[in-house]
Amino acid sequence: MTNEVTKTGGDVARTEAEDTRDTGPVYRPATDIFEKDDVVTVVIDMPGVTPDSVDVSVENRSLTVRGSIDAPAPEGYRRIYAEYAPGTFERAFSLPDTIDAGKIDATHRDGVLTLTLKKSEAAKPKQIKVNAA
Amino acid sequence: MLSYGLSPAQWDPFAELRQLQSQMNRMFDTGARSGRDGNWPPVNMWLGDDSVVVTAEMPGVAQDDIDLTVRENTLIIAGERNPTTGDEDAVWHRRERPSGEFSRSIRLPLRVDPDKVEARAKNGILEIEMGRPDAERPRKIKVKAS
Repeated sequence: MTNEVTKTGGDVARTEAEDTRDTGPVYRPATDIFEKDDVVTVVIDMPGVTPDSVDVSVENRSLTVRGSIDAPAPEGYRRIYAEYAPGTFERAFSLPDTIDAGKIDATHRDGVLTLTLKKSEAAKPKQIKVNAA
Repeated sequence: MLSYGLSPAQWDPFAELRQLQSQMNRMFDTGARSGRDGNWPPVNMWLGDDSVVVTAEMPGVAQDDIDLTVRENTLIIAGERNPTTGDEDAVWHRRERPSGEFSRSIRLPLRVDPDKVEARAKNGILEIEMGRPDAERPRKIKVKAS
């Protein structure tokens, strides 16, 4: 469920991502996906991304999340060592038919984006009553 | 005879190779970051006139769960990252985010005063600003005309 369709930024995590336009490199964020009852939760690490710059869109059953890193240099300081760099987080997932694309909730807190996906009514298991003849 | 640096007998080319290898591994280190090997969280370091700033990518770590220790020129960032869910009935489809205890020791380019440490967290980035002890600040010396 919720398979990944495209690899954005390739497998190299935060070192040599593809350089595009003026937004800088594109990174593929680390993601957890788990399912419980009729809810699928997608948790995506997006450190340095402000909540209002996160973009979540669904098109043709493809769910895309994107957010640009807003990490300005501390004022009056120069960088002397770096293990992470500014850029954009982007990742796409394909939604299975069982997910109701109209009922996706998104919250962003402490640099973590959490999406709550619900299974559609049609996909829920149903009890069928057996009537005595 | 005075000798500086390592004498040829002490020079170990394999030590350099090992170092190069670990640097390369680090360069190509992909997604799976584990807190156990002391590489998490990833940090950037910034130098000012009388202070140094370390910023660290720590998404999803609550401020109360971060434990900072500063001694002389060493900063230790430790803590625990809670798992996404503790629910044992949950079915996992993908599990890439590291969790559990972490501890990372970072050597700073200058000695810092433990009383001059300020830390703030915003959108999953922790910023730690550390100042130099007053006694070690570079002083301007005036040249007097005689």
